[in-house]
Amino acid sequence: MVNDHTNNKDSFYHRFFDKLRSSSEFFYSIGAVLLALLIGAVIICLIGSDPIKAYKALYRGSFGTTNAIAETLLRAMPLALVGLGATVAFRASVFNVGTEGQLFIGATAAACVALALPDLPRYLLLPLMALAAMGAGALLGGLAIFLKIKFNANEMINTIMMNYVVIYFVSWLVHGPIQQPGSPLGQTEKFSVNGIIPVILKRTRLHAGIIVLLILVIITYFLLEKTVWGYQIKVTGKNMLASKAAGIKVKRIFYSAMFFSGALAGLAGMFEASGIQNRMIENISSGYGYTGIVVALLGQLNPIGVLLAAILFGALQVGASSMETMVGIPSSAVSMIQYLIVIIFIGKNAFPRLWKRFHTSKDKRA
Amino acid sequence: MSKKSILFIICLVVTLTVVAIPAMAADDLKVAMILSGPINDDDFNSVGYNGLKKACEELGVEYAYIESVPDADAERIIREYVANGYGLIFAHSFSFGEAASKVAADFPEVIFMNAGTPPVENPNLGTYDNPDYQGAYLAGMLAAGISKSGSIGWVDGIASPNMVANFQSYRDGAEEMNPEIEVLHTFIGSWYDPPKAKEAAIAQVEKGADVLSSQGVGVIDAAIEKNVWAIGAMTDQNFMGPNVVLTSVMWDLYPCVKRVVQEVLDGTWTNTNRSYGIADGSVYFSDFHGLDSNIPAEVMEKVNQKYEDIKSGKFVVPHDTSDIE
Amino acid sequence: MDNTTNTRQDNKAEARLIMEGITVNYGDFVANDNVNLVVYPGQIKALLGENGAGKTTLMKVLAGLLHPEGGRIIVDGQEVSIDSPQDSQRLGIGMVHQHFMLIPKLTVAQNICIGLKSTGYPFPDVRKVEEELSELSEQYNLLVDPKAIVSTLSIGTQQRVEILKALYRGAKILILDEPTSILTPQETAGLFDIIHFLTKRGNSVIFISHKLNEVMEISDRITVLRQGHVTAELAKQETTERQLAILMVGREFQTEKHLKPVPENAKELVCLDNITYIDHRKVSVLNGINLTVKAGEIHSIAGVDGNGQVELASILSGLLHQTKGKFTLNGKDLSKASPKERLQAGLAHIPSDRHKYGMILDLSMEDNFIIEGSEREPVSHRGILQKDAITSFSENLVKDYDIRCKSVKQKASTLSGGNQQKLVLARELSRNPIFVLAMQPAHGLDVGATEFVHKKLIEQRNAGSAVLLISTELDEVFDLSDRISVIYEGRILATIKREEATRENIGLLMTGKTNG
Repeated sequence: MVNDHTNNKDSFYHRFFDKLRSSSEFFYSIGAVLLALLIGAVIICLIGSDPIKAYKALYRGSFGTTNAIAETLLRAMPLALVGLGATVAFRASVFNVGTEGQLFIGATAAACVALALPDLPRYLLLPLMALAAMGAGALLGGLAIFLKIKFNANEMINTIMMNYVVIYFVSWLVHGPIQQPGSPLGQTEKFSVNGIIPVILKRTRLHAGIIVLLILVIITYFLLEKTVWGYQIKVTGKNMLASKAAGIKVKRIFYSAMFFSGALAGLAGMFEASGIQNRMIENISSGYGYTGIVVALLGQLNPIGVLLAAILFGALQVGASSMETMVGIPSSAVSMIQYLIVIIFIGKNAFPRLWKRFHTSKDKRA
Repeated sequence: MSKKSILFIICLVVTLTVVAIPAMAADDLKVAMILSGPINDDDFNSVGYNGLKKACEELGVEYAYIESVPDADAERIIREYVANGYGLIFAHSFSFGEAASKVAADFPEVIFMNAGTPPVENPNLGTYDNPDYQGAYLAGMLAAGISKSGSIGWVDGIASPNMVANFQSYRDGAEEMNPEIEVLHTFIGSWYDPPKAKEAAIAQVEKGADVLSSQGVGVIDAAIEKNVWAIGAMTDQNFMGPNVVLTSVMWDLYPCVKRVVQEVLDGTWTNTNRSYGIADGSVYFSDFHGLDSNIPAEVMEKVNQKYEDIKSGKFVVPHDTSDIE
Repeated sequence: MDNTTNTRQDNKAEARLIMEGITVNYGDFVANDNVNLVVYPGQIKALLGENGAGKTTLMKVLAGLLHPEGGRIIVDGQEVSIDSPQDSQRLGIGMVHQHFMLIPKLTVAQNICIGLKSTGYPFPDVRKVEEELSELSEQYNLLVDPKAIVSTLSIGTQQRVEILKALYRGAKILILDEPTSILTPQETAGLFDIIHFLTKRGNSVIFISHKLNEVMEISDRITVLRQGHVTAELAKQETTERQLAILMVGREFQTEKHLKPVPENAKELVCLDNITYIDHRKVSVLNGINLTVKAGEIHSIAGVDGNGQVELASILSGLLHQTKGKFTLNGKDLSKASPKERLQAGLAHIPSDRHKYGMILDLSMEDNFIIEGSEREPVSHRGILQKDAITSFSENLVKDYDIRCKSVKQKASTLSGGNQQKLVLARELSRNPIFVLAMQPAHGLDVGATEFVHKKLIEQRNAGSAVLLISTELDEVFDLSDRISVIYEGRILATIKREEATRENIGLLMTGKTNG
């Protein structure tokens, strides 16, 4: 009888091939980006512009100067935070599409704290704002799970609906109770200096949030890969029934995953309000909550992948306006490229099949 | 996993160190303008773009612009222009004021101009406004002069100080022409929302207004539909309704841009507020496209007389930004 | 071993299907290694092998779901390339899967129209299809009403619908994948009649099975697969069940079991008192189940599928709440306990549908081993997983339960069915449970794995656990039980001691017939 139990040699090879496979996944992501850029180049040609010039501008606008790098990272911040949260929720098979609303409510909560306690020292005020933002985002997320468990309301639908409710509610707030006196705009008063996250790179806007983000990437990675909680999230997400049968408290897992997801989206809102706008404004997010979800998927629900995907999207978005100003290509072309990346990436399994079909049909014709 | 993170760190470090050579300004002055809407809006943004283009081409200065910038993106884009060596930057929307002020504090060597109210702190941030309230006064006189119903309207976006002043002048002018006149006004709460603007304009017509001052896209449509007069704003908007747009109160930014650029080149620039109105040739009525035959001669004469008085300084249009009662 | 043994080599030109040197690799695992298969018109060919021997892989090649790395396929004398299920269908190959591909809410005719453009597209001419189907059904003695709604049909009839579907699509080679695993003995006999009928009309049948007696009964020739190789190609007359078993598993296995009787005064560990369940449609699925299981006893619940067994198992494991009734384990009332509390009280659950309730295919074996114990030391310490402890824990289980794998890091989905079940057993039994709830524990397993599962259940019994075995297989019930209860329409009709039970009376009770 053949004994094919593990021995050291086998498991070494196995691990090696596993690594190779996961890194080929990584290279596939890069391939998707390159292919999308190529298709984008064709589109740019069709518009009648020079793609090389356009991509040079894109690069210059996203990484070409210190300021460009700072702006890229700034844009990546909310995307990465939302993406990290979404990663945790998606791993638990909780489809949190409410990140946009959670971001808005988080920003608003942080603003309320900043406006109510402007004289608190910075080292107290900023953490307090962060707590408020995360708490508000988490509660809003938790509400979706509550509705799911109590009334069997699909969380994907109820989070989308809640986005509308929250965004209109916040719009009312900034035009009403917390509006800056005398301003016609939907915005609050500027925060006091203590309520603004300090800039860490001179003559740019890059603020200390980037450090918090990097720490959170590591923490999220650790939580997901090394802790019982992360393990139970993974297991519940893959097979809820088997997990339930195995005694895992799946409701608790759903709640905690959603709390985490909502909290990070809320924190993204606080970063935008405090770090960038220095106040709460009506249009605090231009769809970061939604783009962050896409970033989570592109990052393959892996915290480090999410960070890279967020930087990529941040660079594309920031570079797009350079392309627009310098070469005159509408920034919508870049939005197209962004979503082409996602489509190519998500559709990756279809390509080998299409390829094969194409070849067999050619064979048959021959 | 570790492979990925190492790769990432390498990428980051390489980009940060290799490429981060600051691109400082060349000897030549480059001018940029950031606009909140499209340059072909035949309104505020067209005015900005046209003034920039004409002035810079005349002076032979390199210029760039970016349209339709949301407020939340303004600061990033201003910084980008600075990073790319632009020495004079027009933030052509009063809502960009704060962004301009923040960047100005970081880059004292760059000069900023903002379409808004004067700043307090930045020595390198000047402002300019559009004293079209002067024109609005004349428009009010004209509107009241041709109104048969004794009621005229004003449809506007957001009740910003500038727009409030504009409306106050419009009403004052109208009342000078006809003390009995009824002046309706609506602020639709958005700078750009054609259906809403049109709806508000129609509501005013239905209340009796037969001359509308159009301060936003959609009003002229309503005027065409209801066949009442409209007075355009900012650019010659007659083409939008050749039979109903009597004239437009023009605002021309060219004199202002030209003088600012020249001062920067000469090194004589200071952070004063520029308010170039009728006296500077920045505010005037556009061509009537033959519709002036509909204006009673004595009305036309009164309006022309007022224009001359304002130009010569004999009459000063009151600038009233207090709340509309 | 000589793989090309073929006594009818001389007239290969008449063969309906020849597969030659088929090789399929999954990564570095060889699922089919140079496999040959020849089928003639009117022949019943059995494909015999343990789970994981490569039978399904070979058939996936024929169905166009897999492309082999090597080898060629010849159908009716023409070399072909099967790249899609459509190609396979066009070549006259029809497959009846173990799990039916039918939509319960539609009629038979509607089901058959799905995906068949020739019946009219996009609106099929269902009436015409119905007529043609009745004709076909009559012709082959299938007794299927094309207008019947699928969900109202018995399992046996649904299987005939699948056969009808294949025939309607012009199948000349019919592949039946483990067709008897879900049938009652009577239904099996009916299926065999149909198979004979089909082959008499010139169709070929490939009969995939691991049940030796059935293979011996139905087939003309038998191809035996083991670990991806053909170990023999024989005519039925040339062989015996015993020889086939050895060819299939590579060793002799023993079936004798030594059971000491359960002492009369053994403690009643498990008590079910009046367990009643009324489902959301207000249908009463369980009607007052009363049952005990003693320490050191295997108590079987026999019955035909769908008489409340699934619900009973779900209630006992805590996934479903009974409408009323009480469940105590070792004196502890668990009627309202969570799954976790039940596990802690000493329950082990071996579910019938292991993919749904017992394991997570997409995760590694390690992850599957710790699913219940992730919060316990030494698997985790203060909420942090201890990778080394998990690996050594997993490797011990792999060794103890003889699970065939390359590494404990490999995904559970890459294991064969038998090894997957061993994984579940290893996890459940390693916790030293006092109550083992096993439902169809040998479902879909081959002879070797079935024997292993049974051995482990007996070990548990002998160690003093209470074992409740819910099964539809009479062989299993008679092999293992100390007592047998028969469930019918949510009621226990009788509880009989093993020594007093006969296949006849249990079989009658399973169909609801009480004496008198």
